[in-house]
Amino acid sequence: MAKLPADPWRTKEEGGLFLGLILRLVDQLQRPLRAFGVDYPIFRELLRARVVMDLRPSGESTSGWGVAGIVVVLLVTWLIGMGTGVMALAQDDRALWLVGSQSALFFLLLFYLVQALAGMLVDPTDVRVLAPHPVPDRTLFAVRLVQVFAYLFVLAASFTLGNVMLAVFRQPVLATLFVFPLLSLACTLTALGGVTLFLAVLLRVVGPAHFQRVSLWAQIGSAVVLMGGLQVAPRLVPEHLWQRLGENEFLRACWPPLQFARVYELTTGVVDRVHWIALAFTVALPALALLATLRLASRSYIAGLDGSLEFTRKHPRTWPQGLVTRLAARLTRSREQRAGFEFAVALSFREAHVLRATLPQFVSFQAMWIGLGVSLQRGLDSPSLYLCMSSGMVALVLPNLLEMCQGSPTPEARWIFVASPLESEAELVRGATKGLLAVWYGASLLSVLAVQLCFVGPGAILSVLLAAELSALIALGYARVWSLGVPFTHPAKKNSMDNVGLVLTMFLALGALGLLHWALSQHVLLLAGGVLAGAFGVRFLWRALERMPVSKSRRLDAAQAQSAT
Amino acid sequence: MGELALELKGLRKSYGSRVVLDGIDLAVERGTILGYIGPNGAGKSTTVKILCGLLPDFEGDVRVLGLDPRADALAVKRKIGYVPENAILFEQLTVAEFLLLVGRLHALDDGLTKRRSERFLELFELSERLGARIATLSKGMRQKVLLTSALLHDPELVVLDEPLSGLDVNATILVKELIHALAQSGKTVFYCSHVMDVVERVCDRIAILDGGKLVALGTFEELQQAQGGGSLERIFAQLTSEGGQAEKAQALLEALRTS
Repeated sequence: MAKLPADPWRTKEEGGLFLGLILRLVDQLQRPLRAFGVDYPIFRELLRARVVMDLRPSGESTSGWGVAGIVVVLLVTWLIGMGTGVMALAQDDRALWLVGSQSALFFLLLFYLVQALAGMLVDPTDVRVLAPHPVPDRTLFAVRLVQVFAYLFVLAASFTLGNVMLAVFRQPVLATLFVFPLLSLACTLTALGGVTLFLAVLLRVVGPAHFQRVSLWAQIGSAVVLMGGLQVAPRLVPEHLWQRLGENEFLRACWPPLQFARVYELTTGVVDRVHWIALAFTVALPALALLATLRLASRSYIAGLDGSLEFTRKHPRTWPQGLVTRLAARLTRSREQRAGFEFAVALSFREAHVLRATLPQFVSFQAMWIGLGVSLQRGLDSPSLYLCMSSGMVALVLPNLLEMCQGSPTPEARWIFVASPLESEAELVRGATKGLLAVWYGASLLSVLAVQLCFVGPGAILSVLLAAELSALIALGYARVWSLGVPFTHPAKKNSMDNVGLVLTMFLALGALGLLHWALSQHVLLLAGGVLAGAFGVRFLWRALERMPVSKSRRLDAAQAQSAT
Repeated sequence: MGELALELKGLRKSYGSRVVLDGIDLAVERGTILGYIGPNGAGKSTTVKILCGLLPDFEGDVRVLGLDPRADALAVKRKIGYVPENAILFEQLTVAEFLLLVGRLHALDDGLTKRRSERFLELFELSERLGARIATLSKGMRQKVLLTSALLHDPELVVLDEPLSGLDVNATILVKELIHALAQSGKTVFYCSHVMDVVERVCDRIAILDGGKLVALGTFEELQQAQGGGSLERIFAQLTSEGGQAEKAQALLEALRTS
């Protein structure tokens, strides 16, 4: 029997478990959402469309890790959960396990939020489609909230599973199985509520015209505080003050995430006296934060998303003559390489999705290692670990940078290259890769070197140089692994979570090179030899970029064919 | 003058120190077609964004179908249909899914959305692509989807920003006839374009914008009288350029030869 043609009005994913489950879940929340002023039919429709679009990936990923990358993220999160779960087995002090676990989860969620997921809340892509239609600001914000919450929920569930799997053997079974997951949920909502409330307040304070710009800087600032502040803050606040804060019953019951330990202890009957007002605040905090967020996002959210990242300054009337131009002239070997170098660097400084996904990482990783440098300055026999990690972490941002630079909100602009009489597409890709490596990675590495010299002193210059070379070896050694096409000629991605697997292997390579650094640091001659060999290695790998191929799936003709009728 | 669909009084908008609209006064009657033209960067798209409730921060008084787009953007959006200059759509959705989404955003019954969409797409000769992903459509096809989505909820005011962009000849003729038909049925059309002969033939009145200011407003005949006759293209060049386009073209060729 002939197969009947599918009904075009029926969405393929409609009957699927995932979409059905999400829609059934939000249907249960219909009343509170309406009470918060959300236009429920529009909310449900936008969420449905969003999920359908998320379930239909737009195509390629850098390294072929694809979905495997996301699985790796979940696995890593699960392992961290297990790591904190060990405390439940090894420690008699239950408070330490609870505070440690919830703090780790809170930090992890804030990390993902600030580094990647906050970008979803301020992503302008779909706003240009929706803006002409009657979509209330608050409703669109609520859709984004739910979308980001879904990501956080999966991460938190993975962490909690890892933790509970071990904790259940030593802790009260019922409380561990039922209360601990609820506390993780509260922790997730608190992290989300805190970040979104901050963004909503920012929108109100700076107005829609400046929102995109200011929120990017706020994202970078938050990342710095999160990664660097945690290293420095304990040293800035006197120890007795920390102790007094820890003993304050009110704070213990309402300070995130200490409060969750208090709630757990209350349910297991360990404590019978508790500050009830603070506890009520704890329970209500996530809901209050989200309610306040929705209230504040009631106007100008859509106009704010549509705002510009660029500063309104006078544009120079001269041709570019700066450092990038001089670097391009020096580091490239053909006209096509030079064209690729200059255009990729210029666009990477301006494309919102690139800046949002990479700038906070570049800046915050450095802040973290400056902070750690302050901590390690005293009592450190060998600085190998510090030097290698601080230099190497810069290389770990590269997969994200290169992947984000593949995409553009206007990929159709690839016609410029398609219509040009290019002798070699690969030359464009090589030039662009050189540009992004030299400008983004090179500049970051130089600033790390300067900071390292401040902490270890000029006497350790050889160690500092060796660490930088090892970082460059990782960066350049992986250049052949990335599957790249001409930058900014493919549909833009919101984040590149699928690169996490690749980053993880780079991290392991970094660990191995750290050991090598330590071994070579045992004698000055070994160190000098290492620096020399490193220099040759870097030069060799840089030259190997000249043989870098274009990814088959990302060739201009493949992209053109994909978008053609 | 009849009932007004659009009323702009002293409309001013600036980005930092750059003034984009500098005191626009304009009134458009219901059931008429206004051609809104100007050179690149004159402020046309900014005006359109303000009218559609997409830009809330501006100075002056604006009424769209009696509503203030600053205070009541949602009500304005419910009553207008907007076709933006660039056809940005959800690439991952199919044509049917996108049109259903738009219909639901306008609180239309699904049955009505389907009936209207099918009829529109049939007239645009696009019925066969109903189940196709938008990412696979050509520019002209996307424009047809966009036009369908803008008219789906039967808006009182239609704002068209270069609606003929990418359309084939038959579709262009159809859209021009559609604009006339819309006006005859009492709808108001705000029409932005650089295609002067279409503006000349289609619009009841024409507003010419230059450097953020309205430099001419009237019927085509009134503009001809004021500027000493000629086509709209000539009048436009006279009002918005230092002239000598033929000489400029020669100079461009000269630059190719000499440099």
